[in-house]
Amino acid sequence: MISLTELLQQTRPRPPVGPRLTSGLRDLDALLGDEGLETGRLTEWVGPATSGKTGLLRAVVQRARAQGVAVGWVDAACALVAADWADDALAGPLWVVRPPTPDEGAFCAEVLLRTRSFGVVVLDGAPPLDDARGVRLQRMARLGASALVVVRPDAARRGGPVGLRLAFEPLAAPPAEDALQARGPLVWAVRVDRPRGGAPAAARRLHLVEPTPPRLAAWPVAPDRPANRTRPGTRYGR
Amino acid sequence: MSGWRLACARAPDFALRVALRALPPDARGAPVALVEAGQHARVRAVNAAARLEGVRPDQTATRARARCPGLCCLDWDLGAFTAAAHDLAEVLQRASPLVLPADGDPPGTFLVDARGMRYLGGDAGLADRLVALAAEADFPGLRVGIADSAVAARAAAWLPDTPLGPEGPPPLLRVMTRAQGTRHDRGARRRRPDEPDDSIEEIVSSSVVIIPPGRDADFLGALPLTALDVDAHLRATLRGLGLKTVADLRALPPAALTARFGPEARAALERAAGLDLRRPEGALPVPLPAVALPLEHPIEDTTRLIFGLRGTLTTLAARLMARGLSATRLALALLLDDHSEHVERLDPAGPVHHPGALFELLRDRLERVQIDAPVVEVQVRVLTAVPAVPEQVHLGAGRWNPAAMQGALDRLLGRFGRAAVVRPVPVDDHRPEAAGRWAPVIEIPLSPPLTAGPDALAPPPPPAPVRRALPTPAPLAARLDAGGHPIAVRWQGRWRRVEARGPERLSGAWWGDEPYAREDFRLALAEGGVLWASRDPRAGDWWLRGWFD
Repeated sequence: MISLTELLQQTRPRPPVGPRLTSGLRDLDALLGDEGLETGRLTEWVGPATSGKTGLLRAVVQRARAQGVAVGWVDAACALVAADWADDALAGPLWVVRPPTPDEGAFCAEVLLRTRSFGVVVLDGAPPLDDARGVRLQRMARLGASALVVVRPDAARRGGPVGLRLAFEPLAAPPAEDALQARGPLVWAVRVDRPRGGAPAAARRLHLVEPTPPRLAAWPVAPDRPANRTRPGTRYGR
Repeated sequence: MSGWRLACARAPDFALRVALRALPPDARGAPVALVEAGQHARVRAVNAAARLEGVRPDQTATRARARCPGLCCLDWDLGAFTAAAHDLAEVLQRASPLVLPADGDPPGTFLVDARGMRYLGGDAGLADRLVALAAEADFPGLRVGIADSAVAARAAAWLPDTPLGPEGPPPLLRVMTRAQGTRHDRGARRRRPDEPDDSIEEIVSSSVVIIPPGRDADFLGALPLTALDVDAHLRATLRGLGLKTVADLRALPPAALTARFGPEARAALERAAGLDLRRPEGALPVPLPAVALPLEHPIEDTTRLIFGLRGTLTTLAARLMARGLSATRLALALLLDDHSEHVERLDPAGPVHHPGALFELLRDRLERVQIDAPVVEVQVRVLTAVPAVPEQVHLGAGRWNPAAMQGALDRLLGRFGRAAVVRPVPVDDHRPEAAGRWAPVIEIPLSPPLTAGPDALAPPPPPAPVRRALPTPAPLAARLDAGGHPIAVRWQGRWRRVEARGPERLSGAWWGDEPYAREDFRLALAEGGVLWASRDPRAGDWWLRGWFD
């Protein structure tokens, strides 16, 4: 015999396991929480220039794309370099919107959120949101179950309630011991704080690695990427 | 005789009249030219004021503007002209059931079935009705030629504008103005009642030329070679050989002409003899859907039009879907209170037929359009369309919604241009800033991307910083050590101690216009953070390219 309650529990469809918008990095995910970026809420990603915030956010975005999540990134300052983002192996599409002026960034984010097709929408380099726009964007994010991330250089904020805020601060890189190390990968540390939000305050120290350029010669005196001495399209220069 | 009677109706300056509707009435007297789009834009048509200034068709737009600095250049919009020609054809169908735009002729030229007009005034009655109907439709001065064949009817319709040379008209060409009842100009004279009628034209007015049945060959033979509807290259060749009239062409041996100039010459000979099988057969193509929203009161703020437009666009979408079409180009026409028309062309990112997508497309344009007078009516016309592609419905696909994404794409592209929505594409280049490019997003997959569970993902690589580039490299003030490496740089208004990591020497493109040779450095700031700088090895200058974030 089986009770009706048990029968219902067995036959009721389980909620689908959605993609977790995590980074795969233990320390960063500890700050984000088990489910990663919270959908339907605004997450602030705050830090000065060269604090590593964009690189860590890219780790989250690339992992989301690997799970088939469409990502819209509003590059309001038109500062990103395409080479850092080109990865055809990822299933989820990445739309980068580059408006002519940073002021149009919030409009672009709203258009992307309105489609309810993007799992993550990043508003990067736009001026601070006013309260009305911020509330509207959050409403759009809630209706579309999208994670809205605002990347800003300073902590002065407006734009309605924030679900989570991560503050990034660069730490000094250890000096290179010799010339060979000076030409190798550059490892530098970033301190990430979760000053407030739903979860208790916490802080982590993460490391970013700026890799060695693929054709960089190991010997300091050797030229790195000499010019192709043969004209392209000729017999020896294809 | 073929048993056919054909009329060729031609509205002079048809394209110009259609295009001038976009201008306020007081601006239509200014010099105006229709310019074909393209890298080497050329003038296709000019009005009288522009002609007075020395602007001529086939000039380049640059030359035309040099001749007339105040020239108003309008687009040669073939889609709009075709739509207007369709409207005029519908009007002319009140005179004859078969009216079709003539292939190969400028917009505004029609072939009309002229048979069965015996009890309706004959050929003359048909011509009168065509001229009157066209005048009602704001195309006065319609030229009409009626003959047994299309080539003769066409030549007759062009006869009033055909240059006949310094020696005047051929003796058989006589022109009579019906209103005056006298044959005049071009050396014609009134025929006496007892004089045998040896003229080719039965009735000729300043705009109507009627060729009696069976006289097509005689009529064509008297015309200059330019009046014959044949391949332009062949016509130039024949004129180069000294042929002046169609009769000269007909006098040549057909076999030798065909052997020398090919089948085009054979076709020219047949047309010179009045043998032309072109007929106005078939039905007038069904026009592409269009909707109109007349306003009760003129509206100055175009954003207010958005509220009334949704229902209208639902109607347009229903008409598109009823015919299985998707629009690839639309025109938003605002009829203004000053009797002018403001037309905005809309090019969606892909074929659209959903009301929501159409609404998003038009809404953004209405928010930004600038008009000179209040709007009294809004029209949305489909200019081009393609068969709609059946859509796959993805049950359980979750958030993936191609229609909504296409609507967003249309809105962003319509507002900011093609380069606004992009995706990264790798490029084989040494330079970091050139090792990828932003490619425009042009299509949206109908199916959602493949999904992988979070547990199936491989551990991520160590996180790498992302470059943020300045729009253009900026000069960087640097203090160098003995080895020439910077120990401090001035950034964000103050000096900062740095440790230089590098160099990474880059050179190439010496074969092109922009060769490069530089040394890239990563400057690790003492207080944290890394800058992206480069050094010009020849000049020794330091440049800040951006930073790692």
